[in-house]
Amino acid sequence: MKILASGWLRRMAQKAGTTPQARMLALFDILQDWVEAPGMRQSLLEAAPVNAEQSGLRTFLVQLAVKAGAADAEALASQLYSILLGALREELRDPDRQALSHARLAAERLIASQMRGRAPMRGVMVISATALAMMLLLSVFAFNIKRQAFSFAPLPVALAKTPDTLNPDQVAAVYHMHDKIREGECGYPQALMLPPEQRAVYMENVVSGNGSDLLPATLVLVNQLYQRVDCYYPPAAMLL
Amino acid sequence: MAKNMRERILVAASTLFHTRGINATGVDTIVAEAGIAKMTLYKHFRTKEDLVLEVVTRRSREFAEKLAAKLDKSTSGPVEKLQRLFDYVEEWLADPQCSGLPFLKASAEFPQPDSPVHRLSAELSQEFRDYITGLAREAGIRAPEALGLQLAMLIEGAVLSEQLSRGSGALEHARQAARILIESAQRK
Repeated sequence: MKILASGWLRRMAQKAGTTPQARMLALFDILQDWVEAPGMRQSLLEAAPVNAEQSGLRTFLVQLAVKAGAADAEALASQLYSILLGALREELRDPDRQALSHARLAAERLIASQMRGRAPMRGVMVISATALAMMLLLSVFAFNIKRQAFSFAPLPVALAKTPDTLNPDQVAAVYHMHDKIREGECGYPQALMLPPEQRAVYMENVVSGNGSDLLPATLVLVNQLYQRVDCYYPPAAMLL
Repeated sequence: MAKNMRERILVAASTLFHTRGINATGVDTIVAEAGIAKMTLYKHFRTKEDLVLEVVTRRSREFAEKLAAKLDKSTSGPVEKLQRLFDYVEEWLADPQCSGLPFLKASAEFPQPDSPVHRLSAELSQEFRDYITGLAREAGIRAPEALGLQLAMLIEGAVLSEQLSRGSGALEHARQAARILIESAQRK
């Protein structure tokens, strides 16, 4: 089905919210509105069935999940994608069942369960939201404040957990990279392109950004893997 | 003999439908695969549609019976049954003879709501959802219909997603999602 592969859906979701969580949930609302547009249901029933497609939607969901700080971004994206597909089919089969809004509720729970135990991150998001508001006033100046807020907050919590054998400079570098990546538009290399023994570390520490599981043995590798993430940082003025 | 012939047609049609798709399989192909005369086929099934309806019904019943039998046999509590749903869906899909959930495939091939095949597959997926809802009710969940619907959609979507890219882990992820949804429904 074209809608799922369309850039339009992603753009609408992007516009619909300011946090990655809100954007993920917005997908369900947008599809609901879209299905309810006059004449749409009928033409959908005559068109091709809802099928999974190799679409940008999955990648989009992974990016949002990473930005939201999900414990396992790949899993969350896959779960949201599956329930979205199932709901769209059910929605067309039986409009009265309100499949998409039930799916949205499920999505809310799935997102929440991945954020649990991530309280410090939530704090950071509030700070960054405030910082964004300040940016409206201070433009480039405030950009630095936001950056500091981002890289500062999670450190003490995570460092308390790390064993002594971890090199603090390396750990700081990892956190710095992780925070930096969240501010950019980033392309992650496909895990399949990496040697098999590096994939788990990559998914766990780089894509999901799970800093609490850093091991002395893999720390250097994590830093190297971070270097391979290709990011574009829009100038502060464009963020507005 | 007549019963055997009917069976032979059903087996041949069932195999062809799932390897090539229902719409893509012509009556001539079924006749050739079953090794029978065309007249014999029409003696047992008035139209191709009748044959499709019967195949879809049988495959879906087979799925539902196997699922219920396995859940009844191996586990104790209703909550555990809900959580093990995905094990059996996965097991069913892993069998190369199965490829997909029969009622979902049929509804995808016949999207028009007034098509009898579509109506049948909608009924069968309703039965599947009711079965899950029943398990949720046994488990003492306060909004069993909502959970039943969510789990059914999750299964359907994960199966679709898995079909597109085998080994993407969609089913495994959906299983984790199901656990989260069940636990959160229990708390309410």
